[in-house]
Amino acid sequence: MKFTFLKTGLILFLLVFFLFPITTHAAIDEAEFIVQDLSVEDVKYDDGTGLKLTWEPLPKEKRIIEYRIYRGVTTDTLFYIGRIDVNVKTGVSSATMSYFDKDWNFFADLTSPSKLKREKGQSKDGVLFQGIPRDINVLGPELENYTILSIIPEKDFYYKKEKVEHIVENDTTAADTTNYSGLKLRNFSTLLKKLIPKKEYFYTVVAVNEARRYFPQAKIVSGKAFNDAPEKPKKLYPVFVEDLKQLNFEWTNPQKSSDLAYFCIYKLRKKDLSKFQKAVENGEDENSAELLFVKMTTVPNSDTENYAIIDIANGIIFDEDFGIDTKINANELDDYYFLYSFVDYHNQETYSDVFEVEHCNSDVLPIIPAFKVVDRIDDKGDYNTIFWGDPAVKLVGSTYQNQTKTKLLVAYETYTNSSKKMKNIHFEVSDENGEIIQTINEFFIDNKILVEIPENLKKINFKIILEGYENYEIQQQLVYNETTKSLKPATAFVNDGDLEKFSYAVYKKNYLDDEFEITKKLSGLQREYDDKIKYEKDHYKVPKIFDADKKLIYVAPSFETYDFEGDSSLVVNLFKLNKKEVKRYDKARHFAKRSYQYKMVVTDGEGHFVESLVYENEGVKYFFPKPNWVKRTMLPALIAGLIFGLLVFMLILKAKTGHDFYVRPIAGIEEIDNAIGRATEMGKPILFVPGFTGISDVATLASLAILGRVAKKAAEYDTKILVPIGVPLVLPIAQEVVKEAHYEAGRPDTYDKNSVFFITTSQFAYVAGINGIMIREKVATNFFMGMFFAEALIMAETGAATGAIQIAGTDAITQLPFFITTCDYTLIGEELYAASAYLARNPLQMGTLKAVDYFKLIIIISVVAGTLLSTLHLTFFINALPEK
Amino acid sequence: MKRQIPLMIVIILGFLFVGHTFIPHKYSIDFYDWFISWTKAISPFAVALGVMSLWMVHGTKVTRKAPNWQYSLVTLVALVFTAFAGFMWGTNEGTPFMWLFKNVQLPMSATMFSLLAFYISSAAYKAFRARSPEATVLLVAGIIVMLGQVPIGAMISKWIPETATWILNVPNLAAKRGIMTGVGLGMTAVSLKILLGIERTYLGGGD
Repeated sequence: MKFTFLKTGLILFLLVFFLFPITTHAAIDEAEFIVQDLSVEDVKYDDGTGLKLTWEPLPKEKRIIEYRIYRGVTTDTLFYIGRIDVNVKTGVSSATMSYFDKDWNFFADLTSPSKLKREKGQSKDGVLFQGIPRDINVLGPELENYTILSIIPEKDFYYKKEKVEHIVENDTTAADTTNYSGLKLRNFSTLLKKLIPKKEYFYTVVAVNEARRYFPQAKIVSGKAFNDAPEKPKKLYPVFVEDLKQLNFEWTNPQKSSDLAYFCIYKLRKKDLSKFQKAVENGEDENSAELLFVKMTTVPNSDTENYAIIDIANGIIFDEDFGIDTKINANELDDYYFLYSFVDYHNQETYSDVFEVEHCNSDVLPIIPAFKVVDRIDDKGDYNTIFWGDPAVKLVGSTYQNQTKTKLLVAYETYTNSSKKMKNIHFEVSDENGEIIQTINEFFIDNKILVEIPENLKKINFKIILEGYENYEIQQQLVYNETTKSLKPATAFVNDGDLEKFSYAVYKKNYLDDEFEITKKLSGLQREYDDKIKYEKDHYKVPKIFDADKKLIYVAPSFETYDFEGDSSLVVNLFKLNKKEVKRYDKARHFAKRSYQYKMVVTDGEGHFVESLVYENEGVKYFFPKPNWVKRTMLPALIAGLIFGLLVFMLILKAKTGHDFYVRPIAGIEEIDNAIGRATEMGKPILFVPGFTGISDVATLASLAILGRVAKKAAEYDTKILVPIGVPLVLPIAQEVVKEAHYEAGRPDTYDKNSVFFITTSQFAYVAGINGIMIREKVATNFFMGMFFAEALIMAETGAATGAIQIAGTDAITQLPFFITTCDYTLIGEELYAASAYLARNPLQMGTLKAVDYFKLIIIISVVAGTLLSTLHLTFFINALPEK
Repeated sequence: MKRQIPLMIVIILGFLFVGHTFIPHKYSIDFYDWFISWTKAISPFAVALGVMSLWMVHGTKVTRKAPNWQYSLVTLVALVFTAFAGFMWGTNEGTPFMWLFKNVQLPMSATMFSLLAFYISSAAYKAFRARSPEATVLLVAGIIVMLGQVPIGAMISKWIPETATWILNVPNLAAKRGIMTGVGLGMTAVSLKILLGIERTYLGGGD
C-alpha cells in the first residue's frame, strides 16, 4: 500500500480522534478522587422527611465537573437521585458541600431508565445504579420505602383505569375488600417521594471529572430523619387600638414548612416570665402563658394569614373550638407580655420571645382602599384581576444631559389600574427655597421629563398633580448625592403621608379551602394585581400497592369535588359513576378549585393594619376566570388587517380587468436579467444565497420566490446556479423551487440536485464555505436575498473582491449599509418583498403590490395626523393605537 | 393534487394561526402549543436531509476526483468524527465532542468573525469617498457620530456628542422606522399572498 500525503494525513487525523478519549482516561490514582468525609444528618424543624448530606469537595486541580448522589434502603443497591454541577475552572470555594434530600422531590417519570441499569464505571457486582427504572418489578417494591405522591393526568385517571380488588390485610375496621384504580406506569406523569421518618437510608457520592470519568464512590453512610419541633418564631407585633378596643397581632411567618398545624398567641403576666421560661426549658406541658388565639394552617407550603384581630371591648375572649375562655382588661395590658408559637402536626410547640404591647389610636392605621375583583380580559381564562386605589406617580431617577448640569432628564413611573385612567400629569419644579423653576404639563406619558435647572442645584422639589385627581398631590425631592454625583429621588409623600409606608396583601380562598392564603404582598405603589389561576389538569394520589404481574399500581379511585346544591365538598368514587357523571363532577371540581373569593389587608408589617371584608359584587363572592374569544387590544391590528385585505381584493379585481398599474422602476430588480446574462456570457455559475434564517421567516419565503424567477431565467440561458443553504428545513424547499424552475423553462435535463446543497448551520462556517465557493468556482453573479447577520459583509466583500456582479436584498436594517457599500444593486427592505411581484407582473401579484402602496399612504396620513394632534395635546388618537 | 393538498394545508393552518393572534381562548392556545410541539419532530428529519445533501455533494466530488476534492474529504471526515464523538461519548462538558467544539469550531469561527473588522474598514473607505453631495453628507455625519462616541469628540466641542446623539435619534431613527414600516407591510403582503394562494413559489415552481 502506497502512503500518499493525503492518506498519511487521514490516518493521523483518525488516530487523534480515537486516541483522544484514551488519553483523557490515562492512568491516575483513583483513590485521590474518592469523596471524603461524607456524612448524613437530620434536617432541623421538619416533619422527619429531610436529610442533609455533607462532604468535603475535591480540590480544583482534580478538574471535577459534578458530584453525583445515590440513595438506597440497603447498602447493595443505591440509585442515582441528583447531582451538583461544579465549575471546573473555579472548583468549590467552600470547605464543605451539601445536598438536601427533603420535601417532595423527584422519584421517577417517563425520562427514567426503562430497565435497571448499572451506573457508568460500575463493575458487575457494583452497587450503584442509574435512576429508579420504569420497571414495575424494581419500582414497585421501592414504593414501600418512601411516601409517594403521584401526579396523574385527568384523562388517564378517569378513563385509563382498571378496576382491581385488593384485600386489606390486618384491617379490622374497614371492609375486607376494597376497589382500587389500577394504572400502568405510563399513566403517571411523575412520581414524587418523601422520606419516611425514622427509616434508615444509605447514601454515597461519586465525583466525575471533565473527561466524564466516574470515580469510585465514597464510603456509604446512612442516616435517619426525625420529626422535630418547629423553628423558633421570630417577631410578634401586639398593638392595642384604644378607640376600637381591639388587639391587633401581626407576626412573621416561618420559612415555608409542610409541618405546621397551628399558630397560637398567648398572654403572659410580666411577673410570671421567669417561671414560664423555666417551664419551657424543662419541656413541661403546662406553663403560665394563657392562650388567646389559635389559627389553623390548612394549606401546607403556602403562607396563611399572619395577623389576628381580637375584640376586647367586653373584656372576654371566648372560642369554644379551641377551648379559649379568658378575661382581658384593656387597662392592664401593660402588665402582660405577648408571645406566639408554632405547633406542628405532632403537637410539638415552639414559643417565640415575649413582646410588649404598643398603644395607638385608629387614626394611625391605614385606610383600606375600595377594591374590585374582575375576570381579566384578553386571556385564556387563567387570571383574575384585583385593582384598588387612585393613581400614583413616583420619580425614580435622573441624569444630567449636559456638562454644565443645567439640563436634567428625570425618569418617573406611573402606577395605576385599568379602572383609573391617567390623563395629564402636572409637575411643578421648585428649588430649595420653594421658588418655582419650571412647570411641566405632561400630555403624553412617556415616563421622562426634561427639566432645565440652575447650575449647582443640590435639591429640587417636585409637586405632582394628576388631572382628574386634584384631591391629592404627591411631593418628592431630588437630592444631590456626592458619591454618585447625581440627583437621587428621596421618599415620595402623598398629602404628607409616606406613599410607600403601607403595603397591600391580597388573600384568596376557593370553595375547597378552609382558610384564606396570601396570594401576593404588594408594595404601597401597586394599584393592580393579576392573580394567576392555573388550569387543573392532574390528580394527586398516594400509591402504595402494586401488582407486578398485571404491571399495575393501585391508587384510590376517589377524588374531591363540590356539591353546589348542598354547598359542601364531596368525595366521589369513580367506579360508582358513569361517564356523564364523571364529566359533571370533574366540571364541578374545576369550578370549585378555580373560583376564588378575595380580601385585602393594608399593613405596615408591624401590627398597624386594616382588614377588608371579603369582596362581593352583586351577591357574587367567588370569581371564576373565563376564557375570552377576542383579544381587544389587538382590535386596531385586526381592523388594519381587514382594511389591507380589502384593498388587496379590490386592486386584484381591478388588475384583472386589465388595468395597468404603474410601479416605480427598481434598478436592482431590473438588473437581474442582465446579471444572469453576464454569467451566461462568461460561462460561469451564479451564486444565490437565500439568507440565514429558517422557513418561518417571511424574508426567506420572499427570497425563495425570487430564487424561482432567477433559477428559471438561468435554466433558460443554460447557466449553472449554486444555492448554498444554512438551515436544513430550507434545503428541500429550495431544491424543489429550482427543480420546478428548470421544468418550467423546459430544461429538466439541466437540473442538478447537488447544485442546491446544505453547508452548515454554524454562521461563520457557512460564510467560510460560501467564500470558498466564490473563489474556487469564480462565480460571475452573486445574489444575496433574505435575512442576514454578521456574515453579510464578509460574503459581500469577498464577492466584490472576486469581481462578481452583486445584487443584494434584505430587510435586516443593520446589514443594509454593508450591502449598499459593497454590492452593485441593493433591494432595501420592502423592495425584497416586492421583487417577486415585480418579476411576475401578473394581475394577482400587481394588485397586492399596489395595495401595499395604498396602505402605506394610509399609514403616512395616520402618522402626520397623529403628530399634529399630539402637538396640539390631543392624545386620543395616539392612545387608541396599541404600543405593541 | 400534488400542489393542491399542500396549498390547502397552508391556507387552512395559515388562517387558523392568524386567528390565534386575535383569539386568546384556551382552545386556541392549546391548539397552537400542540401544533408547535410537532415542529420539534420535523427538525431532526430536516437535519438528516441536510447531512444527506452534504454527503452527496462532497461524496460525488471525492469519488469523481473533482478539482479540490481533498477539501471535500476533510469535510466528510470531520462530519463523521464529530458525529461519532457525539454519539459515542455524549456532548457534555469534558467529552471529545466538547473538546472539538472548544478547540476547533470556536477558534475557527472567531477567526472568521475577526475578519469582519477589516472588512468594515474596507467598506467604510468605499462609503466615505466624497464623490457626490450625498456621499459628502454621509462622510460628515459619519465623522460626527464616530467622534461623538469617543472622549476626544467632547474635548473638541461639547456639541459633537449632542449632534451625534441627534443624528442617531432623529434622522437615522426616522429612516430606520421608514424602512421598518415598509418591511412590515411587505411581510404582511407576502403572508397574505401565501394565505390566499397567490404566492406559491415556496411549493416549488412559479405561479
